[in-house]
Amino acid sequence: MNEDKTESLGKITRRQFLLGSGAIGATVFLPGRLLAIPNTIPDSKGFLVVDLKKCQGCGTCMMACALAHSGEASYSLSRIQIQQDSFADWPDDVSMAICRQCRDAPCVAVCPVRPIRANKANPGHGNVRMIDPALCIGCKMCLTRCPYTPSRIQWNRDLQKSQKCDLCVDTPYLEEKGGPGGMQACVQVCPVNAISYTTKMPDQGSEESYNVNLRGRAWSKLGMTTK
Amino acid sequence: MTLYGYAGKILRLDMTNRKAIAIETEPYRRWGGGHGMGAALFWDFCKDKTITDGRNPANVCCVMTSPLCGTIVPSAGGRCEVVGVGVGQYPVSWFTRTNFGGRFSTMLKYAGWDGIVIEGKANSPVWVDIRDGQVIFHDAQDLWGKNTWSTQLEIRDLIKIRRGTKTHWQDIEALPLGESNASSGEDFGRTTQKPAILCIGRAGENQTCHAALIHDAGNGAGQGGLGAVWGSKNLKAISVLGTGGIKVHNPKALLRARMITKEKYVTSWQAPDFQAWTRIGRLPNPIIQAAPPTVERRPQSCQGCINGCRSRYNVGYGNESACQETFWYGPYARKVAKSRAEDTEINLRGADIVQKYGLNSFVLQPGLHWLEHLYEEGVLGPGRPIPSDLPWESIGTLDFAEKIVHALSTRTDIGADLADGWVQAALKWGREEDLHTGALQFSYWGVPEHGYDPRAELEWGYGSLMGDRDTNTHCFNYIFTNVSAAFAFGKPLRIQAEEMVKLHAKKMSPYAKDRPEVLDYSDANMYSEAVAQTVRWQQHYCRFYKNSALYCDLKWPDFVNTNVPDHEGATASPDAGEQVFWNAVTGDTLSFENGIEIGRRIWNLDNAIWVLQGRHRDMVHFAPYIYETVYNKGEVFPFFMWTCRDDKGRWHYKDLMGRSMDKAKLEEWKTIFYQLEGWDIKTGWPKRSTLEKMDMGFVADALEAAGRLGEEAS
Amino acid sequence: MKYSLSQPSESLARKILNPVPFKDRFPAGRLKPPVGVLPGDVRSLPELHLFLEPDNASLPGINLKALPKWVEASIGDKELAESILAIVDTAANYVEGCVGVYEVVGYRLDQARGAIKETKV
Repeated sequence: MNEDKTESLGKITRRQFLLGSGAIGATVFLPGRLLAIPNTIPDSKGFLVVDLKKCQGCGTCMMACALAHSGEASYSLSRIQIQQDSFADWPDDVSMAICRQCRDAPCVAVCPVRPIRANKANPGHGNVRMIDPALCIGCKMCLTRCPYTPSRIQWNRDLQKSQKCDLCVDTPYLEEKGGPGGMQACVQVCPVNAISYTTKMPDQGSEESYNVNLRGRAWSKLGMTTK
Repeated sequence: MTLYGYAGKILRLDMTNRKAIAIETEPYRRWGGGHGMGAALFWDFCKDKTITDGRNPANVCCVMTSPLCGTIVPSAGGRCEVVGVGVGQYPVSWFTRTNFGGRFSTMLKYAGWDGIVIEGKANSPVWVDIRDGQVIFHDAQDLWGKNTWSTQLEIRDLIKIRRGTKTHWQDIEALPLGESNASSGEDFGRTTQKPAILCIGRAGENQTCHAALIHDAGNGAGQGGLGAVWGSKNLKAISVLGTGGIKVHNPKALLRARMITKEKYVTSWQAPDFQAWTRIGRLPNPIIQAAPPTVERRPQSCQGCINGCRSRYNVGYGNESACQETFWYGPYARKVAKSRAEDTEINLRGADIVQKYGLNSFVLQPGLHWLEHLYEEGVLGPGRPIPSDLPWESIGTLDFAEKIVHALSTRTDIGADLADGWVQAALKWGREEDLHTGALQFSYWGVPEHGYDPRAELEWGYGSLMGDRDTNTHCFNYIFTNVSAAFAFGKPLRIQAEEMVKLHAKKMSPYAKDRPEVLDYSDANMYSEAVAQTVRWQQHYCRFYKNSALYCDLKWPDFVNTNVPDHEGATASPDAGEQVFWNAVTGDTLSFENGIEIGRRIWNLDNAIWVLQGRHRDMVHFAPYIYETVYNKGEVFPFFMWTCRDDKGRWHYKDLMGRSMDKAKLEEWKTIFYQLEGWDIKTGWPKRSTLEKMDMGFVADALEAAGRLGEEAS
Repeated sequence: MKYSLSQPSESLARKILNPVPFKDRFPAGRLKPPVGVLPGDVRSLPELHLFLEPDNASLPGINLKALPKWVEASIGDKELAESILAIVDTAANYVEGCVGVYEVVGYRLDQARGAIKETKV
């Protein structure tokens, strides 16, 4: 693998070289497993969990996320995606797609950028898996490699780079400090508290482990199930 | 120059030539958004403002967002305003307004459009497909005749939107039926969202009055018959996918104000006050008439709302419906239901029926009561003077509900006469007496009374009368509901009358600031200048903050709030008031009063349009029963409590039932109102001096050319 | 026994359980914010019972003072009318009155259904 740090090699861009040299081919994807080759990324110190039965579909988390990160309210720039269908019945009418800060994060493993990955566990911020826009070359490998539907990586069309949930580390428009130990915009603004932050890693072997029960006594008094 | 909060472009749809034209938003910025912008666009693009039937091809219908749409302004991010000349009012269908929630305005903004101006008439049914900057007219013959839900599902399938809620990102460029000459190689946007679709059902297709515009399962723009306007233009649906975003001037301030609203003005989840006296500060609860059908449900809301007013259930019906559409059939369902559960199911399925047909159910509230009365009197029915083959003996069943809605939506049976206006039908049927006795409770402009009788809730009645429709603005209305409920339960009042009026008056600047007498609805004060100021304040506040900035009528204004120690609500507050959010988004430096002034301009523009349509003060009257009978709803509710002063000037909550409206005194009150507004008291027409002070000399010119400018001497 | 209502005859039981003609209907509205005060009526005691069933979403609107007269004149149940009058006269507030009437009407409906059942047997 060529570890040349220069941005372009004559007429070939760095991006094209990395793509062409098969530098990305180090991982193997097997059905039912995230990765065949275990990674040694240190665990994130923080995670978002959600209650799918609670969400009122207001989209405030999406708009707040985009605002906090970019100063622009947008669905497509949001790092949390709420999908809903008016013509479906509860609880299948809403899904909440949060980044899981995976232990063996395939989006990190697949990032071809070297010597420092653009998408990596950031040791300065609790090992949050986050993309450095200054390093991202826009190859979209992480975006396609995320095993979840929808992909937890978003494509920023204006910057031509990938982006993802960083637990609000890089939020120039949030007054409070974000990141592990700090504030997460989506958690704060949610009118029904359907999103929560935890330091306890959910079970990595289960797709459902990030869907938790956040409904308490007030919910029950409002006449909604807490099961 | 960045127009913070705005997308920057408005879409004109030339239905006649099936063309899409983009114009700049900036020239219309002074009108704010929503209604103000829509009225200004109507002014510019409707070439014949004398029309009085919205089905005239000259009508222009504007679907407008505001800078706050698609942002996190609490209970303002998700509304959308529709304006145009209406259908079916009496004696004139005024230029009017309606409003709906959901996802449409957000998606339209993210697609890059601040609003849509619909002009002309297509020669056959079409639906319009907006994907960011692409605007495509599609043939809608196969959609015509489908109900509103089927229409939306069909459109999703046509453009290959993935089904379900866990779906991959979709590149909108890759969707079928797009423009063939769309640039390739350019990176189009992608989204996980379903398109936001606004459409008509059979009611709109058949151009019946009270035809609504429906979006998703339960968002409806019901009043004014704008669904019939779309039907007259052969417009079946508009679908929007937007992948962009809206730049906000001060995102930090916006986020801060939103957090403050949640933490200070909304009751906490940890120690909730379920009986809080507040509008913005309650917890989410569906406003449905019946008890919810199940606990297996979630709250559901418009985009950006801080506490949703609807629900989605696991029972297969009633999703997203709330408020009146869940009770239009209530009095009848009760006659057949054997249990509360069955009563709930009939009501919620009744809501689904009107949503699917796209019919505004409000007309059925007093309207079906009247029709039942005619049937029971032997006047209406098979072989009777008013012929009807509907199964009246089975009123209360879902079968009857479907049949009556079908008849109204398809101009069949009694729907043939009712489709063009209920008061018109009553006159045709020889039932003028019902307008005198109150058997037909359509109290203003040929539309139903709302449930807040004009003889009691003065600002509601007067505001409707001086405007164009049932005003349906709940700014002060919870004085009645909260206080009457407390009396009913024998519970202590959380806020006494004097504190109540003072809290309100503190915020009612400029006209009524610190003038609590404006909320004295006693007999002695009901025709006063003070009450006129309340009506002015309400109409001006609403024209800007609610109809243009698009703050939701259910949550704003928040005058009083028992979640806050001093009970002062969020409205006009320095930390989370309406103007705080507006300025954070747009970069303006409006004071709260500046917004009221913008509303006054918009109200004047509306009046100018009405004047061109033929309005004169001699037409401005309630239905006869308001004058000729006494408000005696003691038989349908025991009391109507409101703030009143006694002859010693002390404040109390008093029951306002048992009075009528004096026509002569109303005339005097109208004169006061016109004087305060700067309109000619002889005609109700705006004066040039009034208009020019508001930079609306161009409006004065048009009125003068039409011979309808108010005289200065008056 | 909470209520001193004698067992109705079969003919009275049928009147208790069936609707009266439209002209004899009793006005009965509903207060549901923000919809407002909604007009309606009741034409039978089963309907009245459902109408008065407590819920926390809305308030029934009914003239409790006029109700006993209607029950006596239109339904023909003097005993029930007297019970309702006693409840309404002593209720501390309107809602307490509504709940009290709901309960006694429910009791009476059960009696009426029992009377019809006995007759069928």
